[in-house]
Amino acid sequence: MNDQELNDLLKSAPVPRRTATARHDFIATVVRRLRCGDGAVRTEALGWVPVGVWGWGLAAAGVVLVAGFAFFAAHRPSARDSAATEEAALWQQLARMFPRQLKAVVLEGGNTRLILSEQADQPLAKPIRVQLGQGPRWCSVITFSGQSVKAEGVDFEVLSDADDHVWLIGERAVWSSADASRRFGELAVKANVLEVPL
Amino acid sequence: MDQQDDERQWVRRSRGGDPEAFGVLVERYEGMVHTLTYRMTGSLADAEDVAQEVFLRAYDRLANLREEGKFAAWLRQIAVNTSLNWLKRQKHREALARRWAAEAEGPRQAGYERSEPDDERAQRVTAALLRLPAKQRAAVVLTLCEGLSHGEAARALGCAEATVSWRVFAARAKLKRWLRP
Repeated sequence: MNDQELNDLLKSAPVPRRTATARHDFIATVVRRLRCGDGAVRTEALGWVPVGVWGWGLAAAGVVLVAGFAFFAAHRPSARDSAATEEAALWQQLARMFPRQLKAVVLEGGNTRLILSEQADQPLAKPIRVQLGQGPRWCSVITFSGQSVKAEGVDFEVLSDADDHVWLIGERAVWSSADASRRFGELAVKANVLEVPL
Repeated sequence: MDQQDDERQWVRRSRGGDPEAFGVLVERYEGMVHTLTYRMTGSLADAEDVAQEVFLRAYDRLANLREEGKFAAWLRQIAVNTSLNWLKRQKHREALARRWAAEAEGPRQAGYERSEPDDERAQRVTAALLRLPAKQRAAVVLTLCEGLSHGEAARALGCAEATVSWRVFAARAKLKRWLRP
């Protein structure tokens, strides 16, 4: 399939048609809600977070704190070139604890942050290690291609292409390992595939 | 009076706190907003809820609309960002895909007509769009489905044009694989 065929397919795929009555009801509902000054209701409706999500988050945070503390106490890094090996070991350790659930590990400012999927749906692939920094301050992100991560205050997606180049796609900047000397916004970046047994 | 002058008048009256005047704008753009929210959420029920939210937000923020003649572009920006926020709350795309599959297989929701003979093709496209990460999906919906330029999509999404280009590039490769006949 070429680009033009894909464009044609996407443009021509119809969305379900709504009946005239449904359209009329929709307009009437919006106007009625505006007349009633419905602001508080919709803020509440959007701000709701399922209790289970908090529970899951707290449980994961607890596990991460314990795992992170134990790891750093036992493996205090002595040089930057050993950091990759240690981070690979951390990844493997966490991947064993959460099989196919581990989406990303962010090591930032001495803290370890874990991002998990609720289901065991993550790819069986070698993870990508991205290091971002400015001056002496560096952080590491270990994740898979296609994941969105926040580190050093920046939201970005990590992608790898067919040539094994790593791409960071942010709101304001793009970085590629094909041109690794360029900065990602304010940040210098290093990225490579992490060698861990699958 | 041309359509743009006419629209400016409805925008001005809406800004003055006239919900009925805003109703005219809702009538004019509900199709555009529904199409976008459906492509972003993949669910008829959710598209309806998000579309309502879009218009309520737009009414609240009319004071921020700088150019009254660009209401449609401004509304599209609210629609795509409201959809993205909604997707952020619906963190698990798989749950979304399951809900979409249940809707696709079950009886058609009240208020919607079956769009045969294109249903099968539409379902494949919707399923493929739902597998994309939300931001890539937004870039594809705005550029490939809605026909916006990368620059226009970047303005709607509040990001750099290069970011949109790369999101479209990454999404294209996946969509070609998933939609291969």
